[in-house]
Amino acid sequence: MDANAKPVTKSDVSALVALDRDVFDHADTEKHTYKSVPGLTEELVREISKQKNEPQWMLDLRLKGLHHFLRTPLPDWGPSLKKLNFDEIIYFARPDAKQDSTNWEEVPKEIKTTFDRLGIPKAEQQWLAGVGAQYDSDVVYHKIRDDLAAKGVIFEDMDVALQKYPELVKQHFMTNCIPVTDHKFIMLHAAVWSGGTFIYVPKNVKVDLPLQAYFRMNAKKGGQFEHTLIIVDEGAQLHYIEGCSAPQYNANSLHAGCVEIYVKKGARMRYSSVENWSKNTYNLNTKRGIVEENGLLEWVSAQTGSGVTMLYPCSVLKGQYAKADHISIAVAGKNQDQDTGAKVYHLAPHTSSIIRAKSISKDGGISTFRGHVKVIKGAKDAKVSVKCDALMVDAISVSNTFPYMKIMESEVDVAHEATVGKIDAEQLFYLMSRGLTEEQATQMVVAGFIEPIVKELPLEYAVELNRLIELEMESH
Amino acid sequence: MSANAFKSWTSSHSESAGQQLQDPKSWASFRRKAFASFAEKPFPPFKYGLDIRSDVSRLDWEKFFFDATPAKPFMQELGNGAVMCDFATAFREFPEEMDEYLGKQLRLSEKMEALHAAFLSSGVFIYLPAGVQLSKTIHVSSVLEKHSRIGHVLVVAEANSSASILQELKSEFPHLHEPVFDSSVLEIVAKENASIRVGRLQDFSPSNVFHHSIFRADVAANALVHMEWAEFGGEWVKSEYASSLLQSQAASSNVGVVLAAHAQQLDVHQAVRHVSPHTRSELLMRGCLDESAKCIYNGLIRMEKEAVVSQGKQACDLLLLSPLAEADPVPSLEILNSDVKCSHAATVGRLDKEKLFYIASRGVSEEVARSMVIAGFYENILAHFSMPELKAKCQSLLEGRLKLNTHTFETIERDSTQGVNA
Repeated sequence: MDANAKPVTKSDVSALVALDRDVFDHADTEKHTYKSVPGLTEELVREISKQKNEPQWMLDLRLKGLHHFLRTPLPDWGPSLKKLNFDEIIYFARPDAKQDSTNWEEVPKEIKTTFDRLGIPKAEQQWLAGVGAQYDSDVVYHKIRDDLAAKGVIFEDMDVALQKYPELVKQHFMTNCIPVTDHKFIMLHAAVWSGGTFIYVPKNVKVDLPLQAYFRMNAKKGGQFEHTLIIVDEGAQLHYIEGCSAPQYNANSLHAGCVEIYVKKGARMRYSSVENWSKNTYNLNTKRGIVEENGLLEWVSAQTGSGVTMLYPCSVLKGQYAKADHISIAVAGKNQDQDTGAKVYHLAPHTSSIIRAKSISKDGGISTFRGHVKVIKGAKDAKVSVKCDALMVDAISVSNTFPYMKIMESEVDVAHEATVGKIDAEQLFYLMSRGLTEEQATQMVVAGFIEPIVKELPLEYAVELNRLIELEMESH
Repeated sequence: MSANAFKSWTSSHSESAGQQLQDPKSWASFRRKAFASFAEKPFPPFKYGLDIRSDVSRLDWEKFFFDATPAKPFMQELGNGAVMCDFATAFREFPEEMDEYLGKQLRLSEKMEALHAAFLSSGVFIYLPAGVQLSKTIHVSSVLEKHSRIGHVLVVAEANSSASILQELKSEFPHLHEPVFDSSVLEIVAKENASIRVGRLQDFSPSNVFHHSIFRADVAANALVHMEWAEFGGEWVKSEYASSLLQSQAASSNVGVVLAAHAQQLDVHQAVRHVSPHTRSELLMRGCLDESAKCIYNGLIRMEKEAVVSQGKQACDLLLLSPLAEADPVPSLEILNSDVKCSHAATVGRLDKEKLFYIASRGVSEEVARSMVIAGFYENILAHFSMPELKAKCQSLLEGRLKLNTHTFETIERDSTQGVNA
């Protein structure tokens, strides 16, 4: 973990310009050069591929995805997806903007204002090594620091990368990591994916500051299906951050992104995400990384938005001494069903994984931890540690823990523990006796509960997350 | 095979089972309902999560033979009006109790539970009148012979009663050569303030016995149900030990041990449902898996909305003694109200090498050292057994299996109380 990560204090939080839920929920006027009719057809899939001028293999991949999607039933477990109507979703909407601009001034005013409000260009100047911004189906802006580009670091819009680095993309795009037929929403993703990020960090190059992408879904009843493919070559290092938001409409929208990560020998990768989709989004996202010998993959996830989330970042520990570290926080408020967790496959000796999941349920929200850890025969000396803590703020909320473990090797150490409880009345009483209101005291206890996770995030994100959770608690 | 043996899962087999039991009208209609549900569903895959599954490849549902001879009627006085009798007798002597409680904790929508109710052919009814406290343990043991069996025990404990019940399950020979299926259900109804201990020692042949079992308890206000169990035998075993804490101040404990070897497949479920306020539960389990044995552990604490100010605790520890053994723990929590204290923990590991080294350095052979560490691991959980008879039996069985000297457990216990082994 980053030794320089500063703890977030109350003053950091108050120093932040008042962050308003409205910033995320606000819808911009829709301006699209192309917007598909709702619903999914082969014609649409061919149209997307044609508009993007894709090679034949990519069209074939899309059609294969569509073929299987139409024949695969919805999962028979997890949150209810009954209200998700696939025929109403707009699968492809291109904003009226130059695609993939590297000049912030070229980004159309409305879109710029939105990202300005979200603080994207400001963050880029201050503390990011590169940034990308996606609006509905297209990436409208992306930029990387010149010195990193000179070292061979590639940071591109996924659509552009497909044209510029066809071989590299073809080799890694939905092949070994997440195959097209993995599950229903990956099949859908394969059929209609658009935009996203491609990153390649060459051998032994250490990217000192994080790269960031921000995803914004604006079209009403829209769907966003960005594809992120990251290759961190031997001995290299990268920290990538994604942020997501969408306006609050009355109609449901759908996010089915796909993140594939290759962590090569001795490489280190940290993937941080702060997800804040609007409360009527179905966030059915898939993230997976393959970690080679001595590699390290860290997932830092904060999940506060969406109506229904099904997200279980997965680490495949393929090489000896490979490591995975999953840290997550989920907040489930009114009408929210946060079904999150982690999957880890130990396929080699001396691999180790740590899963730390925290969740907060309030106002009748449902938070569920679903874990799947598998240690195959031969993965000697594998170490697994799973720890889940759930905090329940009121009497009407729900918290579930379903940790599945399949241990096929005897020379292992596997431990799981979980606790569920309410806010400690004694702690509240103590804080209130010091002059805090009950609300302030509750917020402080919650801040303490999530602190171990928040401190793993870069300062700006930590502040945003703290503020987001405060907002959530206030609306209580 | 005797002339009146059954092989297939047909409605005539179900009806014959009813004749064996001398079903009264109400049970006969329950049985028909059960058969209808059984007939329309496929056998379950015994699969959990993504890829945890019990290996049923050797389980051939068409291979089992059932005996159609009616059980001998009996009625045993247990003192102070408490009785134990067979189901046919119970249907006559306790029609109201049988009607109200028998099979009521079964879910007929589940194939295996519908099977049990549809083909049930023998049962033992235990009735404890209000206020009766029995000091002597009630035995409901049975020996599995060459025929498959669908057996049931119903315990109705009226208010303020208390008793200990021990069920020992064995097979006629240590190793059976023909496949035998055993479906065993034990239902407990513990009314206000009752205190019931139920022990189970399952030591079937590790080959050719396919055992499906359910222990369920409905626990009323202030009542207490202890379940203490050991699963040692069976080629394929699916066992559930569950209680529902229905009224306030109800409590249950559920403590189990497992030892499996050969190619044994165990699928153990421990569950508790907190329905009312101020309820308490504890689920504990420990097991060792040797050779190519496999154990799935499904633990579940469910706290319903109304179960405020309740406490639940669960712990499961499994040791893998052989490179071919497998452990798949799934300790789940479903918490629907915030005013509870709930925790669970599960570990899977190997024998502590430092402990082994320490003991071996005292001049003990490696094999003995290993057995002693395993015995220590079990002693920790056997200490939670409150039925001395069951505890002693488990200890001597473990001593035999682990090739330990007799009285090893006694020595460990004595040493640990004296702080030698602390």
